[in-house]
Amino acid sequence: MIRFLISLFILSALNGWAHESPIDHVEREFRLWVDDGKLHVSSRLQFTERATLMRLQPMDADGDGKITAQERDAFFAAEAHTIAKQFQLTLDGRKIPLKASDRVVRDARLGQTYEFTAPLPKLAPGRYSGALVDGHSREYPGAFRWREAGGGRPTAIRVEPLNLPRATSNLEHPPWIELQFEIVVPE
Amino acid sequence: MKLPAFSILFALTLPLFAEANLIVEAPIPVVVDGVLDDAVWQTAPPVEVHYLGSETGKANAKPPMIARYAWDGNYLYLAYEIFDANLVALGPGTQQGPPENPRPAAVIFETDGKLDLVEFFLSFGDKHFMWEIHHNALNQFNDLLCIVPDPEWPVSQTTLAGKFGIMFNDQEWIADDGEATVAMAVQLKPKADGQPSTVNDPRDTDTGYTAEIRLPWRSIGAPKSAEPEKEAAPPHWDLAGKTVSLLAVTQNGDGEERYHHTSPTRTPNWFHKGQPNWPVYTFVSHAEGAAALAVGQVVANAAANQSSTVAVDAAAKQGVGAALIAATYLDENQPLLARDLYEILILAGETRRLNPEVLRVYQPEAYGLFNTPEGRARQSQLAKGLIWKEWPDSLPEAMVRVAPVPLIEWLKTQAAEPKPDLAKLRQMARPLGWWLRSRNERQHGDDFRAVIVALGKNEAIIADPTTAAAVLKLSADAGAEQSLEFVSAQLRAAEPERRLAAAEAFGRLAKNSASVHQKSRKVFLEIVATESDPRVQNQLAVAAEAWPEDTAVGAAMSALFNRSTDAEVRRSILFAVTNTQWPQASELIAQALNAPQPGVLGAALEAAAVHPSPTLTPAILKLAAELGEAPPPVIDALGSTQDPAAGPLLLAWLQKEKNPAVRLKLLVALGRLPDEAVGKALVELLASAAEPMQAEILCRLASHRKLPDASRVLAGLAEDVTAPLPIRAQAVWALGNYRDATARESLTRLSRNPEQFFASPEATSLIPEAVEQARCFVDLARLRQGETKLIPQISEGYERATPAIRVAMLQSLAEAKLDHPMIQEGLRSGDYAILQAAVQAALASGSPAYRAELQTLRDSPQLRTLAESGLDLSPLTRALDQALSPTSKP
Repeated sequence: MIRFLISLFILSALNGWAHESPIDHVEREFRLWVDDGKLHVSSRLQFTERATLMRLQPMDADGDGKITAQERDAFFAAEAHTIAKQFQLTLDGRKIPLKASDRVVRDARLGQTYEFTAPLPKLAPGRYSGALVDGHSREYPGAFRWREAGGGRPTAIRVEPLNLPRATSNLEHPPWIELQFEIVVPE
Repeated sequence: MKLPAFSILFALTLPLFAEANLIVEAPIPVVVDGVLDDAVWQTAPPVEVHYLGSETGKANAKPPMIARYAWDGNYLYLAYEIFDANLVALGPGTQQGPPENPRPAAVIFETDGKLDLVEFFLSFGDKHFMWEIHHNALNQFNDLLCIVPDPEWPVSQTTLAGKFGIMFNDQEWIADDGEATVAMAVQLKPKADGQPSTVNDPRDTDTGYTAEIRLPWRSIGAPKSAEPEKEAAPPHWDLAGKTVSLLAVTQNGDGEERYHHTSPTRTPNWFHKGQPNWPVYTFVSHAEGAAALAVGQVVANAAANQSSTVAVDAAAKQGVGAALIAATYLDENQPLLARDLYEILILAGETRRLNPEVLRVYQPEAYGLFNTPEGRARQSQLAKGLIWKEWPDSLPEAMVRVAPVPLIEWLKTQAAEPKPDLAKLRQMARPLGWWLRSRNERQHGDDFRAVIVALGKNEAIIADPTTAAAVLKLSADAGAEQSLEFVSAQLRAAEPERRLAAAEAFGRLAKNSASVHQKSRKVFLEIVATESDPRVQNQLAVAAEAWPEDTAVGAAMSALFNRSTDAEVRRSILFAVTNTQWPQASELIAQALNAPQPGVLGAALEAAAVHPSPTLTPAILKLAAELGEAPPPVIDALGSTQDPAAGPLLLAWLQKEKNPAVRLKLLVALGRLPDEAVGKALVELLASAAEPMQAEILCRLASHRKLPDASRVLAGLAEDVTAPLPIRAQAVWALGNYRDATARESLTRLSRNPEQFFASPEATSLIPEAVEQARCFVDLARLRQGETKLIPQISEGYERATPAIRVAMLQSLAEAKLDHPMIQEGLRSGDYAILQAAVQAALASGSPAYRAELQTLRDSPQLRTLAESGLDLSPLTRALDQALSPTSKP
């Protein structure tokens, strides 16, 4: 009988359709900027403690219970490349591949910041619409925010967000994250 | 120019930050455009270039230049601001540097001219070899490798050393290193009229300029130990912890004093020859730099008597590095500042509860502080307040979190003292108890338990009722089994307050410790039989839950129930009945139902819902019939009877009830009644349900049991493209519970063309979310109908599904008690929710094929790590225990 009651309260069973994920949420911060002829994307992911603990096992490649610097770096580098493949970057209607940096910065709040770059074509002065779709967020949803990456002179190429420059809550996250922006090339 | 906004802060934090000579890491690369608006320039400490070139240690009050330094994985960044009313810069018209990155050269000295020039001298600790860099307002740039031979070197006596004893290798330049290139830029500051300052025009009044220079690490000769591994892409130099000697010099042709520089100890001579007196800077990571800045802000706020909530939070986010910096500012005579600084320690110390390997990956400094002998020795830096006469309120919690080793020593001292500090012990007991009760202690659990046992033996502590109560509670919080003697003695004390605290501790110790559980039973039974204070009796009833299957304890509670007339005691006994399996349960519940007492009846009904018994049904039906409305405990109790007579009552209440939450409860209770008439009524309700949550519940009921003629209604819902998706999902799954033609044909239609039924405006070519999910669940529902040929197809759907959908698929399998290869896949998942759902599905499937895998999982280091983390794993471990129990059966 108790099991019956429990099953009734597992109403989340088919809630995948309603985008209420039982999977541990991942909080994200994005920064986009242009430098040296490249579009730079910085993506900080913050996992829950439980998800972080679950990630220890694949990180511990030799299974000795201790994470060495090599195991750690190899794990994050591989993950950076996986995430890069899950991103779709388009600029002015054209798809541009993002390349992951091997360097992943970890921080005290169980955060990991990945860096990606994409070469920009030669752009004449004007505004160019772009979008970054994060396929990783479809699998691991959560709140996110777009952080300003810093200004630059009026003559510098800059990235301006068009949508969702605010943080979303854990309860109302979209099915996946799509950042729309414009690259502004001044005269 | 954004720097002035920070000048007050920097002025206040100078002792900490600027004088610490730190070079902070840039979070993102500096854009070299001469404008100092990059993120790192907001945190990099200013370096005043104000020491007179002609004297030693004498500084100009108004610096003609302020420099700032930063670094990242590719570059050393130099930034500076010049304050000058008449900018002069001259170039010889030649170029320097490699052909692919040439830069116009600067004139560096004119005897009679008013030339301005900025110079940097750079050495990684070598007084003989250094780079000399020149830069000016026209962005002209020289770089030369200088060698200062010792007089005993033979080369010093050659023409190479010239007449000044310095070898100026101006044919050497700072090279580019792959994609890392030398770059520099200048931005002229606006004059009073808003126009940019002018260079080489003495007719106007300039204000100066700002500039940025970036230099690749390899080319300036950074330490080899900072060099990146060859395969790193892109290469990242790690300078954190390394040092550099760096002297900034400004030459102002208009000034009375031509040269100003940054060394307080330099004696007038060639700058090249004074390297040991140049300032030495330490490179710090972005986090360390941010920590120093944030703590500095807390200190500044306290000095200005301002709130530090935001600054404390910002500092704590930088981890224990910020805590260690904050501790250097602790001062017994500044209690308000100390309170804020201890708040930083509290917040930063939360991480001590994390798994050591997690700390090793994410916070190596915290790992060192809490998990290595060297780090533990450093904890004393954080614990200096323990000996203060007065403790700030936030000190005890801070000690528990960041300084456990000194805290244990302090507690040991108190335990051994004939006159311990009782007030401070009570102050400490609360946060320590919370920390231990929350299963946060990772490193020193045994030490804390041992010292708490010792406290319980201290006569001065025992003599003071309030402190004794605090230690009793602490004993229970710590699960200190060796405290049982102390607790038992207090349980027999004369003062009821002591007995009350002891009863609570006793129950918790008995519940959480197997050895105490056995040892304490006899004492418990003896005490229950004699205790007369209702407050203590009440606490003993709570404690009784520690023996959930013990007939003697059940009998003792039954006797207490009869002996006491206190409603609170009786209610607690019934709550205990709810949570135990004593054979006296029905008898106790019946007593409470047959002689209703305000405040007790509700607990009796709750217990009846959990322990249904035919002997209780007449009393529950009688009570319900007398009520005109539907109180939730009665609804649950009625549902638990499974008696057909409960149906009309519940249906009548449902018709009248307006509260949606109570209506859901009524539906659930109706769902527990197995008779046909109620089944028909539920289908009618489903056909007319307007409220989505009710429709979902009704679909779930139809999924759980076979309701008459439900498939027609469910098919209508499942195929209704205008109905909310969650309801349709439940209807699809419920259809799988029916094997008639209507249900089969409906699922076949949905399966043939999911795009027609489930196309969603959200779906894009990238992620066809709704249709993919529909395919999976329609196939699963058909599998439920017995179509085993769909197993491979369902496996493919599982492979494509998101983790959330995988969980839902596994939960569906568990509910229908179906077996499928995805269970095996799920048992190997790295996602906790999938793993848990797979274990539950494996258990529900009843298949022995998973036993070995489940055993491996239960014994795995991963599960042990999770269990030790203090997170709630009970659904997973319960399912594992059940599946692996020798009596486990489908």
